[in-house]
Amino acid sequence: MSENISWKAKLQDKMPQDWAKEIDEFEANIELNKQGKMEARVFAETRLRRGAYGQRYDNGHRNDGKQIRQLKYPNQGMFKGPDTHWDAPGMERIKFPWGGITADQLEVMADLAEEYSDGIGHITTRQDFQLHFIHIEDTPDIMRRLAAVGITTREACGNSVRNVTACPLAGVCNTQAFDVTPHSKAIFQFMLGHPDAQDFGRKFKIAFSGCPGEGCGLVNMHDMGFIAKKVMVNGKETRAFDVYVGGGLGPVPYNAKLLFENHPEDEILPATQAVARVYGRLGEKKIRGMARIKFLVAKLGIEEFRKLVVEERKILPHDPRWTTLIPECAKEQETAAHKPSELKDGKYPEGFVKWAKTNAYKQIQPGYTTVYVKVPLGDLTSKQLRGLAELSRTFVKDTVRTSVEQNLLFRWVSNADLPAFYEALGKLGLNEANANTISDITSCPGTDTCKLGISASRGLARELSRQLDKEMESLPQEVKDLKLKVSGCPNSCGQHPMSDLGFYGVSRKSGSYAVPHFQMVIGGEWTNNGGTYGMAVAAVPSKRIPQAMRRLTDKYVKERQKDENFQKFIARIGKVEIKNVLQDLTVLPTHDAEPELFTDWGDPREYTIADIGKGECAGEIVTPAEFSTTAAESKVFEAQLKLDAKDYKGAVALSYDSMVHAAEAVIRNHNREYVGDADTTVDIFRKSFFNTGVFVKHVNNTQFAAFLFKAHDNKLANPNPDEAHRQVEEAQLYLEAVYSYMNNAEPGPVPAAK
Amino acid sequence: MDFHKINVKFFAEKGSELSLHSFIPVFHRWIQEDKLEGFLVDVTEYTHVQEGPGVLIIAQEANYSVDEAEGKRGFMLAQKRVPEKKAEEHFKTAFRRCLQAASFLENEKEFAGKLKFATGHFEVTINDRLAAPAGSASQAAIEKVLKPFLDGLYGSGSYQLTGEKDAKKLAGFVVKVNTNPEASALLAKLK
Repeated sequence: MSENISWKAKLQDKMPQDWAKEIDEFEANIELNKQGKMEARVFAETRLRRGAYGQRYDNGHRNDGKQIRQLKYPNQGMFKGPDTHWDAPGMERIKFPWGGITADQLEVMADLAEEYSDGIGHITTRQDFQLHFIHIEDTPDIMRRLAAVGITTREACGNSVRNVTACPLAGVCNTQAFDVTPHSKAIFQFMLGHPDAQDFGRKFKIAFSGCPGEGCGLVNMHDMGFIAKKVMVNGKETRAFDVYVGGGLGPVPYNAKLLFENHPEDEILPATQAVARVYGRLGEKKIRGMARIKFLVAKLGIEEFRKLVVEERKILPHDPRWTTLIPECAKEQETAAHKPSELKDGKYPEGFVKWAKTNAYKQIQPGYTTVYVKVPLGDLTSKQLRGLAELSRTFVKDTVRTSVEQNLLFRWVSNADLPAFYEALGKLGLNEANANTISDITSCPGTDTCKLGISASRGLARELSRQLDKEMESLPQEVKDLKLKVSGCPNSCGQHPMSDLGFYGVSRKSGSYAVPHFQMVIGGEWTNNGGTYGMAVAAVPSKRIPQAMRRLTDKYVKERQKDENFQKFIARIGKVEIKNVLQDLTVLPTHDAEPELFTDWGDPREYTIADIGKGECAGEIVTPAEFSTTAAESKVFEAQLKLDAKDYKGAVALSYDSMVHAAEAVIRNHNREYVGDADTTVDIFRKSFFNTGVFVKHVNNTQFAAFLFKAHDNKLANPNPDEAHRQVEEAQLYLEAVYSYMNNAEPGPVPAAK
Repeated sequence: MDFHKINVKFFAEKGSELSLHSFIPVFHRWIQEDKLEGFLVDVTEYTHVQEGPGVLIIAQEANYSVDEAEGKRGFMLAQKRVPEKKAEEHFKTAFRRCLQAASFLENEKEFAGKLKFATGHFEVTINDRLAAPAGSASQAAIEKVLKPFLDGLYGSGSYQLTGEKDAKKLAGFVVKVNTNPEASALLAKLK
């Protein structure tokens, strides 16, 4: 028992001194903020750069299902960011570079989840962990306890280099060129707190993949990514990377562009530094929605961007770490706890064979298996975390990694140990089969805890997973193999664009009621590092998504041609047919006819995104503004069909029309009689709704309006496929923003122009 | 010693088979009705996790949950941030809040006759490894504060304490009282 001892004093000798100092400084910032000596805006970025994030309801309001309640946080008037209450529960994000986690770290996560959170450690889609419902004043001690086992939360959030992710099979993979673990470690160490990475307009995410064909690394969706390859140089096999830049998900996903081909291994650190410098210098800083590096690369073009990086590289002051860090990191090689062995024939535990079929991956090293531990929704209890730590010591030697699909991988399990390992996992409730199948669904936090959540992504993922697991045995293999991912809003944290069947949260109205929906995004590709993004086909009420999913998978099974995968099937039958299949599900009933449709999965509260109460007369009347949104919907759909037909000019023209109709809807929302041409419509929208801040206030993002202005001000005469694809996506997003605006906007005349 | 981060869990005598999902609407209703002492923020659920925290109300000073840890359903309160008080007062507050909420839950119309928490069978732990690291010293320190409190509530000699021996778990005790007193009688003493 300890008397009057702090974690700071207790762990002083166990933390790296520079990390301990940083945490002390952060604690001092907390105190300064409490004393009102630090601007809330500045403190917000400070805490974000330490991984301390905001959470839903921290603005002091919550819909309880009947009314919007003002939340009576104790220290009213004290804030940890603009409009973010001091005492509101928040989230702490904890970086695990390349997903590596040791037994000691698992145990500390267990303790922290228990003592400061709600007993759950949550694995994210970028190999991090998150703890929810944390009080800001507890965060310094959380950070100290993590630092004592080698973990920093520095730059886990904020405009910084985020966690460096890597394929969790790196080093044991059958398709890798070589092990990228040392390289991801080196980049993490090199870029952490690097002076050239402190002035970004937005976050910067880096990923490593050992091969081009699989999906584990997802290089295509990253700000910067590396794909390993071996090349012949002067007759000698040499390690190199294809370096990509400018990918990203978010509301409009961008494919990464090839920056350097066959880039030498010892040049990847300076290349990253040069990219960071160019991005820091030229990246957008004011309009947050346009500040990711993908926008800069798209604006400059990859050739110009490459030229700037090459020039920057030439003038970089030499840093010896460029060549020393990777070899140093490569010295730390994994070893196995037990000798290689073969799985003995005999009587296996019940369920073992089925489990092994989906959860066991035969390593490149004979006699060893990597086991996928399927973690439902990425959630682990403290007891499970401690149990996993024990297994990490017993069966392997600290060779555990998280995955971007929110699972854990135990590497180097000796084959003969597999039945015992399966039984040990069973005691923790973690020997569920079906890893990497359709029921192994990835989801972001959505409306459970995220401030931006529109629909209950976790609720939907839980329900779909439950239904699919029940009938998994009877599903055809081609359905079992599909990837299914859910995001609570268009920002794509659930990685829906790269799944066969993806969903992101949106809302619609029926009469005066809001109805939770998911936009269905189909035909994305997980393989090839997330090589192709899917396209939105229809917004379906949340509660009807299982039915919609089933219709599509049934159709796929019945009508697919020999060896036709889902993407090819979707491309062949076309979006019109898909829309027809789903059409009746998109028609909304009245509230009285089907009240359950007006609540979301796992949440019995009447759904709202904007404090909307029941109106008296809006009922079934279709307003001129709704006609405009309907026209916008129709145009954007037609634009998608043009895209499919490779008519890029047509797609761009129609997506522009869609945006103009959507802008018209905004105006008609305040002036039912408005009629005007495109120039007038955009002009009124710009001056009365954008410049005045009225539109942004209700959609919380400047990016969406910028899509309209970009399309209007710089009409694309000869769009390439990328540009056309992007504008169609942007039109869809702008329309969603208009729906959001119309759900939230106060009635009244068109605001005065500014 | 500051033992304010107290977990109390009254084990279920009846109702372990009830679906965890059935508690979600009730907890939301409690927020609408300001049913519990203190300031309630939100409901969160882990119905997909085996032997997890179940369904919780996140509140400012404590979390309330229908908890499933160790495969034993119970009604649990995890006290978090509370005003400075004497240690005995912290136990009193935690027990009062937990018992009151458990009693409300038993009496909700959905669960009438189907749900019962044992007022005489519970677990008390200190959710703070700094104040109470695992070990005999912590167990003794907790017992020193807990026993007088339990003596006052249940009567001296009317219960048995079993200390936690697992060094990875929170320090504390499982308490088995010789009888299951009425919740109302206990709550009257905890006012």
